[in-house]
Amino acid sequence: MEQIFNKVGKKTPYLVPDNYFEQISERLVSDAMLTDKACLSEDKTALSVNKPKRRNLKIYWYSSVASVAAILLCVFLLTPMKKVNPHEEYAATLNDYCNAISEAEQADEATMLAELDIFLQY
Amino acid sequence: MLLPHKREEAMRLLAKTYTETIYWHARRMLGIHEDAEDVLQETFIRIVKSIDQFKWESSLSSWIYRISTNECLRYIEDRKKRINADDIEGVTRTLQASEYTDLSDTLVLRIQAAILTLPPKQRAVFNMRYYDEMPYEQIAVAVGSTVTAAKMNYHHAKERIKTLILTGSDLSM
Repeated sequence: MEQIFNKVGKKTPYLVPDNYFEQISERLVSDAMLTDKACLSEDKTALSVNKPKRRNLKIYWYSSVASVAAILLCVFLLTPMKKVNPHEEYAATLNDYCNAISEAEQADEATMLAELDIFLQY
Repeated sequence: MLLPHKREEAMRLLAKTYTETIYWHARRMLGIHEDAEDVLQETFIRIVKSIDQFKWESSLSSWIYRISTNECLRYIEDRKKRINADDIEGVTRTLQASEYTDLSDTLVLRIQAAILTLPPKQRAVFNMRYYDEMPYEQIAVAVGSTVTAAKMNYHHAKERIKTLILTGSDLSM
């Protein structure tokens, strides 16, 4: 067995294409550079893990704009409406009521006087 | 971490130093040129991805051998689903059919066919010891085992090759 190994040595039947190692080395380096760039950009993303993501920033921005718009809409809707003071409304109603009574009383009084006149004429 | 232009320089240096080593290790593990090239590319990408985590606790070459061996073992496991690597006749036919195999020396071809039928870990240990003349300590790191286990693997591999070549019954050349 040792004789066989001694005879063969480290010889193998394997061949490679011409200039194979020069070409494959170039290809390996260019592939590796692409991989390396991708890895580095992944690392940068990993480093900024504590910062809010761009997507979240967008959400914050949109929600604040929406809130401001909602407040403005409420202000716009509520401003033209006249504020009603319940006390004033009550006072006005009471005043009208009193006027109506006094008018009625006056009317009654006039009627009574007219009737009295007619009675006195007889 | 290195600056981009320094990284490119480092990659070029790595490729220049280790391309042939990784390729021949993979080729002896797998036999076929195209398979070895696939493993070489995968290994190099893995090296680039994890080079920043390399701690210099072992030598760089042991670490690269370890990545390369793991890639080969993974590739063999994948290929097992497609090709029966235990069938020595099939292995020999595959080697003979390959464009990049020298068919002039039958004995050399027979030894390679015998090596390719070894269990993958034994094959890795045998190749690293016999062809690359690595010390057992380094082989143990590369295959992720102990020095004693690596020695045992080498011994069993040699015995199995001896049996296959001397009986010759399993080899149809």
